[in-house]
Amino acid sequence: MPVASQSAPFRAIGRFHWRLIALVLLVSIAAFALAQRRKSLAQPRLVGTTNVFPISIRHAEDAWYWRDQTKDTGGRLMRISASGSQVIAKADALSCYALGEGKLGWIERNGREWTVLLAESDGSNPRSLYKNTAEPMGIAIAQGRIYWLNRVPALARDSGLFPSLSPTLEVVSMSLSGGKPNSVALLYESEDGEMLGLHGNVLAIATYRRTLPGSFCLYRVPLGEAFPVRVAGERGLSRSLLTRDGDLYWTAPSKEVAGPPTAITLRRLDANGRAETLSDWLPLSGELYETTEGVLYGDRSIGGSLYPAGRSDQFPEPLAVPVGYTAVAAGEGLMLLAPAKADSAQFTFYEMSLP
Amino acid sequence: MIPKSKQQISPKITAAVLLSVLVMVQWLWWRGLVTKSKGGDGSGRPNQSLATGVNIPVVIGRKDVFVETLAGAPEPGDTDGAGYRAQFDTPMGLDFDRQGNLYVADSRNHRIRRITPSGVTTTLAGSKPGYADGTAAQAQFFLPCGVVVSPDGTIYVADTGNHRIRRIKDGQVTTLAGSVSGRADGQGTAVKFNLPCAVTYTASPKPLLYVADSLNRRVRILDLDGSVTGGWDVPGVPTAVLAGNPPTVAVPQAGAFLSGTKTLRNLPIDLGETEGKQSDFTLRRPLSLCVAPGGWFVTDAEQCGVFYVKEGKAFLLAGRSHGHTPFPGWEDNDGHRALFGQVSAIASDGKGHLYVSDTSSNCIRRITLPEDLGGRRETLP
Repeated sequence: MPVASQSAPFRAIGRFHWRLIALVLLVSIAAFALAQRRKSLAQPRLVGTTNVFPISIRHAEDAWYWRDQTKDTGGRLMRISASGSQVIAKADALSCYALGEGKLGWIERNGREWTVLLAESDGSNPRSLYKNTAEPMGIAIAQGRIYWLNRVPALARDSGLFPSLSPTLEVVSMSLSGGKPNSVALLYESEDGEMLGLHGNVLAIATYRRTLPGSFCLYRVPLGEAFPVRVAGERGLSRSLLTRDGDLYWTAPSKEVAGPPTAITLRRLDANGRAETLSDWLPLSGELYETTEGVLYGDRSIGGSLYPAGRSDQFPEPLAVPVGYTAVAAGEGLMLLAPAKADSAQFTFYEMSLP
Repeated sequence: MIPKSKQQISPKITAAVLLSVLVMVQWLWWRGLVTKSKGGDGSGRPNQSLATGVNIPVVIGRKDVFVETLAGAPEPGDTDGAGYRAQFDTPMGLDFDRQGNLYVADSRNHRIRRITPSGVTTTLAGSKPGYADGTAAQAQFFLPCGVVVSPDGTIYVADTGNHRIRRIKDGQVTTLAGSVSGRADGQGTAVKFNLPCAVTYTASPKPLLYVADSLNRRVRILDLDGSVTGGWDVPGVPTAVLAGNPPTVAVPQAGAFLSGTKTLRNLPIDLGETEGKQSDFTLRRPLSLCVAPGGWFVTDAEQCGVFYVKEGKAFLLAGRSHGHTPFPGWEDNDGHRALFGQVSAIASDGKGHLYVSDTSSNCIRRITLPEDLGGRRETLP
């Protein structure tokens, strides 16, 4: 019969084979979509614009975060993602922020009062954790707690006479659900500090002394032990980073340069305490970023570039970026670009996948 | 109705604005920001602040003085080693033993370090911050700021953060006097200091120590058996005592050196060819001193340099004086070009060299003096 003869091949395929074909189709569609996304990320894709130049740029949870500060706008914490841009916080000053465990923490000042705040990573549900007229510094979120540094008053009031008796920094922590801050350790450092993060049970902290020629120290603070261990000290004001693997990276003036520092080196201390110099002759004033392709050093000067942490006996080679763009920052598998000829009143940013 | 733009400005407002401008200009003049100098480098060009490019008067050290870094470098740390390889963290008190070893109160490392005459640094005593007597390696100090060596080689330490005077002898650290902070005479643990920051040995009239007991604003007299029986109050925080008859005390908060009944306050700095306002250039915060031919060598908390004081006047030997604005740095060179951070303690080896702890640059600097100040002409063999 004609009908029967027409349906015979279909019947031959059988029920199981229909399922197989459907699966192949679905996989093909997914692969096509992924290829399209990769293709789109291989080209600069518009992220957004801002009228204030961003600082401390980071990428996490599919969004770019940064802070900025002007006389008119005050200090702001910004977030930009596929769903649009938002001002997460606005204050007289906003000194730092940190991301971790799906949360976003920051320190802001309004009037004379400083506040440590915590919100979800998209900025929702902000709540104040701690207030003080003395500035809390640095911030890190890890293992269900938030960490920062408080300045302890000087032993001697006139600390200009005795620099070692000047104020010290106290590492404190607090549960993400609030409560009282606990003292973790004391650092005999008088000026600024920054929490780099927690790896295992060890906190990493960077401190700065700004009196010329200036100095920088990196400390490891094992939780539950009273004594911080200084693992590195450098001249000048370095930048530093703690990676997810527990390696500490920092910048230092290049020993190759005679006279005032005009180039820097990139150094690393691995989790076992071995220090090595990775790159030399990098341009000054950069920032360190952890990405899926390793640690990158971003030169924030005009026409900035991103440099992979390389070998000290090789001249640093910047990552290639499309013609007409400069690299501004990096994070996870992406880099943030800006047009080489930037508008001074408005900054437009693009992202693309790292090569 | 008169348009707002055509309204006359109130004479009161005009007067207030003019007065403000006048006060501002006067302030700038007083700060030396609108004056010009002939230039201390002899070039005839005005001295310029490297930081701002603004012409401000600068007094610069002598060309016949030479400054070098004996040990340490600006990178803070606690590594032992030779020369630049050694690291310090906020070094303060200094003194020599008879063999020419230099002892340093390495305050933020909570250690006492020793530098041999050839420039090799080792750790003599101390480990983690704390308080513990015992062997030199096990003993603990807390922010020690002063050190002195007696002729028999015993080292006395002003263990500032522990409010105690410690003694290092034959590799053992013991406590000579002090306990918790306070102010009390007595013996051993009955004695109370409040952040003792410097200690000086004297053999006359009998062997004893002078302790600059900073927050008690008093110089305490400490016998070598650990008893404190006397002392004298000073008008501010004492930071150094120079043994002598009478002893001389540096009191930075009073801007003065006190010697018996004599007070030398705000000593003028010799301006040389620099056109500056003399009142801007004085030793306002003298920190430490040692004996010089006919005077003292002196450091000042607000000047990044080393001075020679004679007949009531201070002469800059090395570094720079920018009046009210410290100009710190780290550069070895002749005294004319050398830069210092905040220098605190000063000691002389009696052989034509001064040693200063460059506290903010985390190193010990050596200054070779000119012949007129006790330096010796170096001749090749």
